[in-house]
Amino acid sequence: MEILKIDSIKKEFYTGYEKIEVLRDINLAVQEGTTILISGESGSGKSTLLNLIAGMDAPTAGKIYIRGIEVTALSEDEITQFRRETIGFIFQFHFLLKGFNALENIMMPAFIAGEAKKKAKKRAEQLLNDVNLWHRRNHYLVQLSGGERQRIAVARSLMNNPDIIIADEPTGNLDEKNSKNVEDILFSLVERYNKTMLLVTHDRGLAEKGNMHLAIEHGVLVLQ
Amino acid sequence: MNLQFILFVGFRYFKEKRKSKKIASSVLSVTGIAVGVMTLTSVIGVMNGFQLSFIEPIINIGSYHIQISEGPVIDKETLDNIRSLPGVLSIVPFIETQALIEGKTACIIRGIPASVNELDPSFKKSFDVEYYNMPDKDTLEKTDSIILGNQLAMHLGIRTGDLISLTTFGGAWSSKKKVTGVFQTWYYDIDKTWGFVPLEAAADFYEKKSQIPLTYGVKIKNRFFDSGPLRKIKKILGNGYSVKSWREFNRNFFGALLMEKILMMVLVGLIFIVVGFNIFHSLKRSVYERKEEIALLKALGATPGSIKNIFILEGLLVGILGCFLGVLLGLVIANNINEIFLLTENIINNFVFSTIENIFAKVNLNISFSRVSIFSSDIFYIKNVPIRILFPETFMICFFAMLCSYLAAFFASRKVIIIKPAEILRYE
Repeated sequence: MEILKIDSIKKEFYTGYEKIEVLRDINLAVQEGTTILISGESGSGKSTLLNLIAGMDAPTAGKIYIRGIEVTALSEDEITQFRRETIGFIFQFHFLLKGFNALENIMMPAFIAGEAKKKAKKRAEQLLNDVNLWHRRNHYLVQLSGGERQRIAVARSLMNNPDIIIADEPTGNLDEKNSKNVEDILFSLVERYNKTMLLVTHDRGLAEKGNMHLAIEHGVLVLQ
Repeated sequence: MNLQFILFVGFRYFKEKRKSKKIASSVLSVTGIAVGVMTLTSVIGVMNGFQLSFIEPIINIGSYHIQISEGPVIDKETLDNIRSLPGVLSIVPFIETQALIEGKTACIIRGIPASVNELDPSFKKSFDVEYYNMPDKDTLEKTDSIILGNQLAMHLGIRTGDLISLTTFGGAWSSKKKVTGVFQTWYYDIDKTWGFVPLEAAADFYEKKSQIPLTYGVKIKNRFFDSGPLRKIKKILGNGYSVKSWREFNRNFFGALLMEKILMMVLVGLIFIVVGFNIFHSLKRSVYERKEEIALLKALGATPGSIKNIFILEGLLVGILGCFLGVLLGLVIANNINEIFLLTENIINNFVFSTIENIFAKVNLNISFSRVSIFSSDIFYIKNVPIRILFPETFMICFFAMLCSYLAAFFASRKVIIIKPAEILRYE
């Protein structure tokens, strides 16, 4: 079943009077439960594409459909609610909230969605176990290593049980050992919970783990 | 609106700020609100004390809450009907005229029933009487008795037990009265110009019974809710009577007191505007410093409105904490204002002045300061600084403090809307 459809997406930026065409004509159809790897040079528009899919940015032209709903036609409040329920985002940098402990950071999407605290806590504890950080549940940001922070971010992305996980170079900021650890956990959880994932990476070694490997070249998606 | 999320994050941000180095701005904001509320609570408390020490004797002794006049004598059944109206506490007849004491000093003589304290218990509240040789203290039983205001008695050199002559204006009636008591209401005008005689004795001022200007004073539970009883009394009495509220008597004086209080509240309340700006800048900086977290919360699906409410909650918490401390300190100051004055006097007189005098004495200069008295009952004609904290006013003070905090937080948090997650959460 098709979960994501990108139809002739175009994105332009303006720096002063200069127009920069980042994405020229992006077309993509993603089936449910698949993992799509996207690579490309820095500045090629990988993050921009993910932001457009997540509704955090608006395209200059074109349409994006998730589960048949035209995301690009939704209002800001509608897209916010849609993102909360449908998409889990993992950034290159963990972006954890520093005033909250590991468990609370994972619970945050559920709090935002208005879920009852007891139910949210139960699920967050399960996810903490999944990322092997149960012993760190009450630890704050400063007490966690880079790899642990990113694993918390992985758990957080799954908190609201979203249909799609969008990961923007989640290991780009980690050393090799931690990268491997985070990747293994991410891929195993995506598989266990049967999620669709769009993963931006420079790591060609991950190509085998995805169902499809694409690259953005000159503003269009090409199959690798 | 997701209240759980707003409260959870809002309280945590507030707590986090307290622990961090950014506490100075929060402390300043809370202190500002607390100082404003404290000042207003204590100042208005003292002001109420002073004002009510005028207003209560005027109303309890003088004007009553409602006056019924200019009509025929009201029969007992009608009086009972008025007395049984909801909100009505008492109804007392009286006769008032002007007279000369000892043929030289003008005063107001009011005839009241001997049983006035039973008919109207609030009368006694404003009426301190020193009785002469009357163990039962029922001084108005005998028709030749008179109770004079203490200032009037002092002015005339009259003491209890003395006989005085009383002549109504125009010389229509004259009689000797025995001063059986001296009263003090702590309202100078009444104490200086009023005397009370038994109702029957006052009726003798007039040759014809039909000429007696009998007036009825009505007391109600809450003088501010006088329109209902006023309307119902008018309905019971029908035409032929003048029924007036306390608002119509002393209108100018009460109006001036009210204006004085409002102006004081506005002037002292200006502090809230300054504090509001402080909260505004503090929260604006907080929004700027937290823009990454705001962007993340947006990316996680929080609406701009709910994130705005987190910062508004932070502002309100500053307001609540400030109000709580302010009311607490205000009540402590207000309830100990006399002791504070005394302490201040002692510090100035026994420490500051004495030290300066001693310093000059060492260089053989004899300088002596006259001692300061912040409050003296000899000058102000009151026993001590009166305090009256009124809950509705304290509530209003807190309400305005909270409103300032809310508005400051509301405008400071507007920037939340323009924060774009896609722009902020880049890591390149």
